[in-house]
Amino acid sequence: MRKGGIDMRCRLEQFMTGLIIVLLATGSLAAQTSTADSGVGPTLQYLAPMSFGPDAVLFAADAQEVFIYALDLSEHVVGGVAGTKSVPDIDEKLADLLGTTASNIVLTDLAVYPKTGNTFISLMRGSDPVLLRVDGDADITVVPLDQVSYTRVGLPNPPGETTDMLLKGGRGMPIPNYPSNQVAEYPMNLFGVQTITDLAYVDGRLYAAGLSNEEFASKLRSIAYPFTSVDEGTSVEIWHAPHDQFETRSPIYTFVPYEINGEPNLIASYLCTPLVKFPISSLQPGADVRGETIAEFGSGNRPLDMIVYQKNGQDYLLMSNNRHGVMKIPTQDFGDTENLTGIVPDGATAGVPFETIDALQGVEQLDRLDMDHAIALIRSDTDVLRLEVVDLP
Amino acid sequence: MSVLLRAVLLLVCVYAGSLGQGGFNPAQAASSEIWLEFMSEDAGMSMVEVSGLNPTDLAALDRASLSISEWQRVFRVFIADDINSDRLPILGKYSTTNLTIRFTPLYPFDPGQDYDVVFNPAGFVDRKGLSVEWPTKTLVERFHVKTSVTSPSTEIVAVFPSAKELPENQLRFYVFFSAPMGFEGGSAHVSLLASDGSLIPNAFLPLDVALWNNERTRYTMLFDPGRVKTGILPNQQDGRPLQAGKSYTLVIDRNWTDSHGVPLVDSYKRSFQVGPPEKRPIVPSAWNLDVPRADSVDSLKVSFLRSMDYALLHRALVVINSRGESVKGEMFVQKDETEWRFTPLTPWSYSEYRLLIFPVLEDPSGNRVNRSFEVESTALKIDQDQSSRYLSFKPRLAQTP
Repeated sequence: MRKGGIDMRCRLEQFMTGLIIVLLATGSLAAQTSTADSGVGPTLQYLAPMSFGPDAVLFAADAQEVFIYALDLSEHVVGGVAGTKSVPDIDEKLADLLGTTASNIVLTDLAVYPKTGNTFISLMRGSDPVLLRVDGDADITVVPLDQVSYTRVGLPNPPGETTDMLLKGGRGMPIPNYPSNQVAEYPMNLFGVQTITDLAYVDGRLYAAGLSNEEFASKLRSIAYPFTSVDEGTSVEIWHAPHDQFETRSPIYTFVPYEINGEPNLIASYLCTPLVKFPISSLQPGADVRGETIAEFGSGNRPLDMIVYQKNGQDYLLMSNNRHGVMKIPTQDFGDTENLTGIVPDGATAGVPFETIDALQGVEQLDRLDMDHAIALIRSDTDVLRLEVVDLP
Repeated sequence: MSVLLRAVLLLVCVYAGSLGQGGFNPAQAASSEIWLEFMSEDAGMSMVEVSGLNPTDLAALDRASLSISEWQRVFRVFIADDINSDRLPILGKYSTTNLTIRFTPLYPFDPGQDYDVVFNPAGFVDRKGLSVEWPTKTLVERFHVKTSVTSPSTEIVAVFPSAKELPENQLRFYVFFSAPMGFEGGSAHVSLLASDGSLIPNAFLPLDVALWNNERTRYTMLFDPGRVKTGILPNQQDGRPLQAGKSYTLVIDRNWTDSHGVPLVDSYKRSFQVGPPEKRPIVPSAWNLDVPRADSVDSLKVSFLRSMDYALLHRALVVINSRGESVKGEMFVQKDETEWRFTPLTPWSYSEYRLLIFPVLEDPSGNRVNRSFEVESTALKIDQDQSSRYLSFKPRLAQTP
């Protein structure tokens, strides 16, 4: 091989190497382009989770299509009696109203509109997503989604044909987003197949936790609201290092914003059981985001919903779980909890002390209603679902 | 009845009425002529109509701009129920046409369901400008909607990983169905049995997060990561759901319904052995590339020497040419996910190609390229190297005879 030829190849190698090295993919990365648009009458495949934002905006995820909608409910939050009244047999009643049987509906989430205290419930009627409101008279009305204005942001799934990858030296190269001709089913690496598991709005930003049905990864996205189409949104990967021993990636299932010692934090529950906290300020591209463990729970037990409330001047976290009922956790030690280290002894849970509220069993959905009450969807032993106003314990 | 006969009957009735038999309502004759018509999706759309009403009355109702609750006093449709008479009426739209009152439900009537329709003309609080011909008798009728699909037709076509021996620290299963399924997740239908047939409790993640693909033909069942991961409380308490040296059976019951609400054709069972945990990172430089011939559409075969994740193999590997363009072709995952084959649409050229390996690639235990799933975090620093790797190859020249 001639000398000149070898030189050329080496340079090409270096170029390609440079390109490859900077292909930051699912790591704790940078800004991703989100596509934002607006309209009236969102065509949703699914409707959950939901969380109220500023004014009468209801953020709702279409976890199937992976869009997050900001639904303008200003016309649909009015006209009801304030508050929410308990509704026994709610699954039967909803089924009646929607012309079907209780076995054909699945209640997917609920969210209280703080200004009126009405409860909004999302459900799937067969394959149709439905949004309903329950008011202070236990009146149930359907929100006509086809008349609701919205803006939405599409989490990159799937993205366009190529993505510009930054190289060292500031150059960009378009990398194909789709391997060969498998477009629809398998979008490229960078933008995994996500289902959104929880949403919360804090100070102009919407946080969305995502879970993949393929890779074991965790994406926590932070998106500016109002949605814009220009490079908004950061995505960070979350890590978990239990007992500082073995570190893994870790999906977040549910989370709630909470201020600790004056600093905005997220209290989050990992898919693998621990309850963690991390400051919102740590959610920066390129940062190491590791939750500090607050508590651990035994197997078969997963937090479903978390709300924060005050009682007698103290803050508490109320957490509904799929197996062990509802837990009340005082937050006073969240600020200076020693990171859980060392192996936890058999049979124990570990971390901050908490109290299990025996009176609340079978809670499937939970949200705060007012200063003294929560609203819960509770399933009885006999498989009957009720919407109940409960006293905050 | 012919028009003439009707007219005669009416005259007779009016005459009889005028003879002082108070209380007789000439509209009684008319009320026997109203009837209900029920339509469901297989007829084009779902609606119920009351027919045979006087057009003048219909016009009056139209002008009255009634609210839903006012309509519901007179015309209600329910899910049929012989036991519970307390059912709420179905929500929908009420309207009038020239000849009918029409109820259009918010959602189509369900196949296989019975519905009760009640038309109670006396239900209006005030007369709303209705004529004396407005009926008084209540009509009640039950309708049945034909079932569209009754016999099971959807089945489970594959479960991955497909190897006979699976690692103790496997994270998930993919279940593939032959047709779209309903929205319900797998928690209530998938179980893991030990070799003696006993149920392994809490093996899978007890959440009903909908881990479907877009078409709902593939479901991801996650093992409880709290039990799989080392050093977590459930792992301490209960250990991994799979233990090396033992055999297990994955059972999926047929009551997991498809998008028509029909059960599967059959339940699914698959037995497998479990081997030691897989803790090695993926090392692409150890892969074996079977390089195709130049100017052919031979497949590129990549052997991983152990199983990779079935779904991620379809997303993490791409072949690019010397110009950095993605090569179009078809990919196949085979041999228990130990091999990936790629057949280009157009012949390979005699030039430099690269197989790009994106860092999202995992094996079934979550190990990634150059990074094991569980890494001892002694340095308390996360390995940030998330760059892609590549393997370069050049198609070989065919042997000349």
